[in-house]
Amino acid sequence: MADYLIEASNAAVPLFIFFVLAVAWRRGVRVYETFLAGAKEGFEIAVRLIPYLVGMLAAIGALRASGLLDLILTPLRAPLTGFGLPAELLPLALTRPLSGSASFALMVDALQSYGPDSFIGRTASTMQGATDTTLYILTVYFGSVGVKHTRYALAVGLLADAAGIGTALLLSHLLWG
Amino acid sequence: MIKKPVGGVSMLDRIWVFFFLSSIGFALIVGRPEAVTFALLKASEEAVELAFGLIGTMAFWLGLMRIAEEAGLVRSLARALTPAFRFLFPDVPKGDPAEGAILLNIAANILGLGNAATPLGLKAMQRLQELNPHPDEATPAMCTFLAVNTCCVTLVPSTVIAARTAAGSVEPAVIMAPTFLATLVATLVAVAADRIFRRRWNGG
Repeated sequence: MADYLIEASNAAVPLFIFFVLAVAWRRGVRVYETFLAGAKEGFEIAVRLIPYLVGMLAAIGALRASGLLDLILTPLRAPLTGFGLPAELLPLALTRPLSGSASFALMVDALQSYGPDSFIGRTASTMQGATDTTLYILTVYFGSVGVKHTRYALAVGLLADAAGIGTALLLSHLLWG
Repeated sequence: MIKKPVGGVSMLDRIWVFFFLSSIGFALIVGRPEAVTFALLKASEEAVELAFGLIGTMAFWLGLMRIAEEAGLVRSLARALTPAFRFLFPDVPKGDPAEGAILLNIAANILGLGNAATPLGLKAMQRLQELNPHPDEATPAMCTFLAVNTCCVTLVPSTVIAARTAAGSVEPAVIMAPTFLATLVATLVAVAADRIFRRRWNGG
C-alpha cells in the first residue's frame, strides 16, 4: 500500500500533464499560446507572496533565534509525539485553518530548516495541502453576501481541518515514518 | 490567500504580535538581542529569495492549468460531479443557476485552480443568498457549500509542489497521493458533520 502510494504520487504529475495536453490538443486548444498566457501569472503570484513570507519567516525566525521556540516546544515534545505530531510542526498545524499564506510561509520555513525530503519537510507539505483555510473562506464567502449568523459552518470547517491534518500525519508516518 | 480584516484585530494579528513581543522580550532577558536582529534581517532576505525561486515552477503550473481550463476540463469535471450535487444540495431547485456555479467552483478547486474557483464560489453564494428567506442567517445549502469548500478534494497541490521544487527536493511530487487522500477524508468528514449538525439544528 505504502509503495503503491509513493509510486502513484511520482507518476501522477507526468500523467496529469500528458492527460491535459492530450485532451487540449484533441479539442483544438492553441496549447502553446495558452500556456504562455497562463505562465505570465506565475511571476505575479510569486511576487505577491513576498510580504507574507517576509512577515511570517521574520516572526518565526525571531522566535527561534531568541530560544523561546525551543523553550515552548521542549515540554510539548513528548505529548505531541504521542499524537504523532513532530513538535516542530505545531505552529503550522495551528496556523493552517487561520491563514493559507501564513501556514504556507511556515511550511516553506520547515522545508528550509529541515530539508524538503526529510520526514518533517514531507509531513509539512502534506499538512499544508490537506485542507483549505477555513477562516478565510468563511470570512470572504459569508462576508460577500452579508450573512452574519453562520450556524454550524465554523464547527464543520474546523472539524474537517482536524480530520485532514490528522490523516496527513497518519499517512506521513505510514509512508515515511 | 489574503485574509480580510473582520472588524478590528484578527486572530492572526494577535499571533503575529505575540511572536515578536515575546521573542524580543525573551531575547533581552537571556541576553541575546543581537541574535534576534540577525534572524529578522536574514529571514526577510531569505523570503525574497524563496519567492523568486517559486517563479519558475509557478509559471509552469499556471500555464498548464490555463490549458486545462481552455480545454474545458473544469466543465467536464463539473458535469461528472452532477449526481453528487443532488445528494449534497437537496434544497437547491433543479437547474437553478446556483447549481452550475457550485459545480464549477468545486471542479476548479479539485484541479487546484484556486484563482478560478473564488469568483465562481462568490457567484454561487450570491445566488444562494437570493434563495435565502432570512438574509442575515446562513442557509443549510450555504453551510454545505462552505463545508465542501474549506477542505476541498485536491488532485494537484500545485503551490506545495512548486515550493518543494524551489527548496531543492528530489521528489517534489511525492506528497500528491497522501495529500489527495487527506483532502478526501477531510471532505467526507465535512459532509458527514454538516449532515449531522443540520439535522440537530432543524430538530431544535
